[in-house]
Amino acid sequence: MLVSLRAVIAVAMLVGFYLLALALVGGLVALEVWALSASVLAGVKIGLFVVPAIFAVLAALVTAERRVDEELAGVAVTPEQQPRLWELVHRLADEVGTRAPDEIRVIAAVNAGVSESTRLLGLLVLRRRMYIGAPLLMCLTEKQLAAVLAHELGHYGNRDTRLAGVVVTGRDALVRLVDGMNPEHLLQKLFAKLFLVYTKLYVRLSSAICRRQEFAADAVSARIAGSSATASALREMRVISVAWQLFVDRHLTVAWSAGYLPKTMFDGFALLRAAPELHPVLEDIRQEDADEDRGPYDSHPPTAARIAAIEALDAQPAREWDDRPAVELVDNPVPLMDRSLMLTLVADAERKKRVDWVTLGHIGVRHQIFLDTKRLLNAAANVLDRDPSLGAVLDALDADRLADLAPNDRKPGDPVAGARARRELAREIVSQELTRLVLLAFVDARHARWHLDWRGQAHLDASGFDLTEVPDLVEAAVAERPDTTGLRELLAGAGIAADFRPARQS
Amino acid sequence: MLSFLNPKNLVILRRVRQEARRLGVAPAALPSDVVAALMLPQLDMAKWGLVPNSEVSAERYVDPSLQVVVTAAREGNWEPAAGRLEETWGDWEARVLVVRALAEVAVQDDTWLRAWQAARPDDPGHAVVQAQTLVIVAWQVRGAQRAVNTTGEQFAGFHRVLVEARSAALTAAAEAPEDPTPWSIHVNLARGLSYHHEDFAAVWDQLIARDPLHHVGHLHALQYWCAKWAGSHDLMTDFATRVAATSPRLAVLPLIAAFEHDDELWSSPSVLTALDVVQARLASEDSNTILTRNERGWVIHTLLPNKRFDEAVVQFRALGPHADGEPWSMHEKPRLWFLKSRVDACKGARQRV
Repeated sequence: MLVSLRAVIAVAMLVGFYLLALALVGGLVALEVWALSASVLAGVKIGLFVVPAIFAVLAALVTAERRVDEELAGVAVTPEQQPRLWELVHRLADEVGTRAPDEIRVIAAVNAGVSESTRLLGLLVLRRRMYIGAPLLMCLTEKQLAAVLAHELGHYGNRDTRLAGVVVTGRDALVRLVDGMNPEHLLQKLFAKLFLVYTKLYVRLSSAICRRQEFAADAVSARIAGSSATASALREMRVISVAWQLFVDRHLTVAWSAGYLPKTMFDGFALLRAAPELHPVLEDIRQEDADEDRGPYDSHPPTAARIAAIEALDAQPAREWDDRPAVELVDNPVPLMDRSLMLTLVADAERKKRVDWVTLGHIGVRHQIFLDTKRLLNAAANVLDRDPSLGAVLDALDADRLADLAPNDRKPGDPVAGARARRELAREIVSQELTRLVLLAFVDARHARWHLDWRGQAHLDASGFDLTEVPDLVEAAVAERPDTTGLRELLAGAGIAADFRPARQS
Repeated sequence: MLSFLNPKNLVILRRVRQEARRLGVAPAALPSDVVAALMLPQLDMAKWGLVPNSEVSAERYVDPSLQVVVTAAREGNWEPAAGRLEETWGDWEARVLVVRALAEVAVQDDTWLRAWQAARPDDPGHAVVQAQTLVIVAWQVRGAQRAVNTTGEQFAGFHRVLVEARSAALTAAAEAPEDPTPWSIHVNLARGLSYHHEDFAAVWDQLIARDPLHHVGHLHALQYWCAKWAGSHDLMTDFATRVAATSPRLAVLPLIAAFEHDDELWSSPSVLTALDVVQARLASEDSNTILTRNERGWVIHTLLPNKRFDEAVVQFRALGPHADGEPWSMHEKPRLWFLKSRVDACKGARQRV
C-alpha cells in the first residue's frame, strides 16, 4: 500500500511539473499570438520577453528527461576476490527477501548505500549496486555491519531505490528550470518564483517520503540484526565520522603541501582507532546526544529519532551474528581500501613521495612550522635590510624594533590604540613565531624531531637539550627591555649558527 | 534620481560647501560626522542658551591646570605630574582623574614615567599610574568588539597585560595602604580577568573600606555585575538600586544600568527616582569634570525617552561644548549623537531663554 502511495505521489508530482510547464508554454504562445494579431510591433516587443521564456521552459523539460549517468565511485570487488563479504551480503539479501546486488563497491567514505539503474520511472531495474565505506569495514563489528547492510538491502526490499531515481531527477530538473530563468526578465523572474514554490513543495514531500523510507529500512535492519546491533551501529557512525575526519585532515594529508603521502593508508586509520589517547575523545562523542533535526528538506530523519524508534521495536536478531571485527571478512583489506582512498584524492597524489607514518608526521609538522616562521624572518630582513635569519630576528629585538616585526594587518582591537598597546600585541605575535623558529632550528640541527600523536597534536622529542626553557627565554627576548642573551647562549650551545635560516625541506 | 532638485538637499549641499570653505578643505574631504551634523536641522541654539553646533567637540576636555601637567609629562618632564598627584592625597575623586589623565599619556610613551620611577623609587605615585596605564593598554589590545570579533592574540595580550596590571595594582596598594585608587583599578581589571564573585568581593571590600562612596569604583563594579561580564541583569539592577539609595553621588548608577539592560527600563520607578536625585545633585554641582559630564549625559539620555525635554536642555546648557562624556563616547560618532540629541531636546522643549 505504502509503496503504491509513494509511487502515486512521486509520479503525480512529476506529471504536475510537466503540466505546469506545458501550461506556461501554452499561455506564452497564446499571448504572443494575441500580440501579433493586435500589431506587429507589439508582437515583436512582447516576443523579446516571451521567446526566451518559452525557450527556458522547454530546455528544462528536455533536461528533465536527460539522465545523468551514475558516477561509479570506489573499487568493485568480485565474489572471487572477497568471497566472505559477498557471502554475508547474499545471506542478508535472503533474510530481507530481496535479490542480492549485482555489484559491490568499496568506497573511502563513512557511508553505505545502494542504487539501482532503472528505466521507465523505476519500473525496470537494470543493475543493482551496493556501496560499502571502507572506514565502516575497519571500525564496525560484523554484527553492526550486518545491521548497516540489512538497512540498505531493506531499501531494495521496499522498492525505495526504484523511486529514488525519479525523485532525484524530478528535483534536479526543477532546480535546473529555476536556475535557467533570467532574473533580469520580469516575466521569467515571475516563472522562477512559481517553479520555486513548486520545487520546495516537491522537495519537502520527497524528503518526507525519504524519511519514512529510512524508518522502514531501520525496521528491516532491526528484524534481521536485532535492535541493539542496529542502534549501536547508528551510534557508531558518528564516532567513525569524527575519527575519519581527523584521520583525513590531520594525518593522511598532513604533509600533502610538503609533497608527501603515507606509504600505506588504512593501517594508519586502524592505528588511530586503537590509539589510547583518542579513547576518551571518541567515548565522549559516543555518549553525546545525537544531532538535531535539520529541517524539512533533510532526506534523513534525526539520528536520535531513528535510534529511539529502533529501540522501541526491541527486536531480537533473526539469528546470531558474529561479534568479531568486520574487517576480518575482507581478504587483504589494506591495499583494497587504499585503492579506494587514492581514487578520492586528486591526480597529484600519484606524484607525492611515500613515507611511513612516523616520518610523515614529522615532515608535516615541520613544514607547517616552516611556513609559520616565514613571515617573521622576512619582517626581520626588512627591518634590518639584510638576509632573513634567526640572528636577524634577535638583532632586531635587541635594536628595540619589536613593533616593526609585527604584521601590519594584525592590530589591537581599539582603533585608537597607543604605541604601548601595539607593542603588546606585537609581543604576542612575535613571541609565538620566534618560539617556533627556535624549535625549528633545533629540529633542523637534528637535536629534535616532531612527533604527531593520533589526536593530531604535535610534540617535540628533544635529545640532549632542555627545550622547556625556550618560552621563558623568548619572553625575555621580546620584553619591554629586551634580553636575547639567554636564547643566543642556548643556540650557540647547540652549535646553531646565528645566520640559521630554515630551508623548505630539511 | 531627482533628489538634487529637492530644495532641502540644495540647502544641505550649500552648508557643506560653506563648511568646507571655512575649514579650507575640499567638500569631499570633510569627515563624515561633520557632513552628517550639517544634515541635522540647523536651529539657532542661542535661543535655548546653547553654544552653536560648530563649537561642540568630542575631544577629551581636561581642565587647564591639569593640562599643563599633562603637556609637561608628554614632553618628558615628570616632576609636575608627581607634584600634582601628591596634592590630590585625600581627595580620592580628584586623584582618580589625575591618575587617569597621566596614564593616557603613558599609554603613548612612558619614558617620563620610567624616569620618575628611577628618580624617586619610594614615591607611591608612579606605581598607581603604572597600574592604570596597563589597564588602559590591556583594553586597547582587546578593543571593544564582541568576543567573536576579537582575535586569539588580542585576547591573549589582553589577559597577559591585565595580569601585569594586577601585580602593578597590588604593588601600588602596598606602597600607599590608605589610597583607594589602586583598589578601584583592581575592581576594574577584575572584570577583565573574570574574577569569581568571592574573589571580587574581597577586592571590593578593600575599596569600600577606604572610600565607601568611591564614584569610579562603583562605576567599574556596575560593569562587573553586567550580564555581559560576570553578573546578570538582576545582579546589576539590584546593585545599582542598592547603592543609589546610599548617596546622591551614586544615584546615576540606575540610569546606566537601564542602558545596559536589554529591555527599555527608562520609565521604571527606580530609574525615575534616581533621575530626580541626580538632577537635584547636579543643580548644586559647580565642578566640571569628566565624571559630572558623564552624569549629565546619562541624565539627558534618560530624560529624552521620558519626553522631559526642558530638563534635558538645562543639562545641555551645563555641558556647553563638551561632548566628550558618556554615553556619547560609547558611540562610533560621539559628536553626531550629541548634536542629534541636542536638536531633539530643543525641538521638544517649551521654554526658551
